Amino acid sequence: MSFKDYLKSRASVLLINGAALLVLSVYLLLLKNPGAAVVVIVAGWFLVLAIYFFVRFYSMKKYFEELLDVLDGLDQRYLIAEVMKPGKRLEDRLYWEILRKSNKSVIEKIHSLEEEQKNYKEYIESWIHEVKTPITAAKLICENHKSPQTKQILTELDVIENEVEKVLYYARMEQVHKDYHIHRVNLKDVVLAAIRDEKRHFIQCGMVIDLDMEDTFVSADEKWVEFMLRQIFSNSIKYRRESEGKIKIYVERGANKIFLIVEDNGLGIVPEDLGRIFEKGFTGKNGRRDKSRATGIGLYLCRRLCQKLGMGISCDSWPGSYTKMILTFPDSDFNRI
Amino acid sequence: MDKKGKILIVEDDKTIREELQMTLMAAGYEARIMEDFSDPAGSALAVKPDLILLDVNLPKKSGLAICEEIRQYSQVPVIFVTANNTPMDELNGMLRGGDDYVSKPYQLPVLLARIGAVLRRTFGNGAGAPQKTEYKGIVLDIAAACVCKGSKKCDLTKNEMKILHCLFEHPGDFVSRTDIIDYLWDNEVFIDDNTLSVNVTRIRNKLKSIGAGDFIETKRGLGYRIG
Repeated sequence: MSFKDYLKSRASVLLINGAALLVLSVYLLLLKNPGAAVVVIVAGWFLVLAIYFFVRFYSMKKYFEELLDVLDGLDQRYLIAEVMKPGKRLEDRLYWEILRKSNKSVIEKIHSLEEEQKNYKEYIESWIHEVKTPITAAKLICENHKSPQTKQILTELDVIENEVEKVLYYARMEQVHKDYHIHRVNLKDVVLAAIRDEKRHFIQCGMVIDLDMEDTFVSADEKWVEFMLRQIFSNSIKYRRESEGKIKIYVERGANKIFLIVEDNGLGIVPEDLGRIFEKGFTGKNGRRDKSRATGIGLYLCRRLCQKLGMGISCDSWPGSYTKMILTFPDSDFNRI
Repeated sequence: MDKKGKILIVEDDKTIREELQMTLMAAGYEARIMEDFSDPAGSALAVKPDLILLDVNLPKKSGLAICEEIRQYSQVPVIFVTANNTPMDELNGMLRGGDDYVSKPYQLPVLLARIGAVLRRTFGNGAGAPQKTEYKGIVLDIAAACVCKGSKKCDLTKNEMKILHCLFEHPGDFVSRTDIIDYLWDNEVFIDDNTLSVNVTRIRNKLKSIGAGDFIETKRGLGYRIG
């Protein structure tokens, strides 16, 4: 806000003053007043007007600078009307009143949306817990009545279970901080648990796993890492080659980092898709194949979880040859305590 | 077979508790179920179990409260089973005197392994599997990873060891190829059907070198059997 801008916005006042002064001067001169007296009157008039403008300008400038400061310092900017002081002038007070009313309705709307979202989230979480009971029961029934058919059903139940887990993790994403417990974890145990989760699927698809790692300790939350590995495995199964599908799991050490690498010999990812596989809803060329159950959520969740857990995830692939998913763990000093 | 221990299942879902009872009985445990939840802690103690599988979300009283109550009278091991799987729940379970925590839906081998581990920890019996098993003059030495007949001895690879071990656990019975593969995947050997055939052929050759060429019998559609 410059003084020039201010004067422009007050152009009408200036114009009226100018015109009135002109009329007054002409009138005074016609009444045979001495020119010097007219000049003094005009100068005095302008001086008073200028002082008025300057004072108004500076008080307004101060007022708005304070207001903008407050606005910048606010966490939720829509709350400005709650903390701003009403101006002294009538129109300022009216504007303030209007702003307050509008803000109030925004705040109410936001509260009701937040409430709705919270209820929805709670419902989803409780639904997930509810649905786990019949899944558990169905699994037990299948285990107790082993036949080729129940084995197939078990595999499908594993798929359902993984999909349900995805929903749970998606719902909990925003409050990850409440839900993890970073501690010393043996990565090998986590890998074994994730393999166990997808065991039936692997066997049914005739895949083999070459697990080439020793006990490796990292700081992580095993539940979340297991979930991510499960997504990676499920992709390797989905996009496997017709026969002799194989996954190699190994660990590499970098500077202050530990890499867990899951390498399959599947369909691979075309270079133009490679940069986008972690995007939400992205399915790409592989996802459009027949029978593919791609939703574009699994890897998106992995990347988001990695960000929250201070881990990294990346991918390297060549179509028709291999896909390498690389999970990066910080090799913190904590490991050596 | 001797009963491995008495397990009480406290679970409000009828299907789950009945199927779980069947599973545990098939695994050699004596499994009891609780039908009346009016005084869970009292009726749990009346059964005098060696271990309690306790669901957390029960109709009247939470499993956590029941566990606290049981702890006032008894140190019987308790494994919590629940569909909630946040670290807070886990911590809560442990603070209220639980010995372990399994989340639903569980993988059965995991549940059985946890039960076995807690029982071993508590009663110190049957520390691990035996290191040597013998069937019809053939000795499988698990510690030394070899198979012997009389004074003749032959070393085995990890995969061959596990396959033979699986057959030795069901002496005289046919074990289907899928069951063997299942067993192998539970024991950190992740191979497919073809690799299994290759490995069995190798085991046969090794057995032949110690004079037990026909120790493993194959029957189409049924699987393998030792004898």
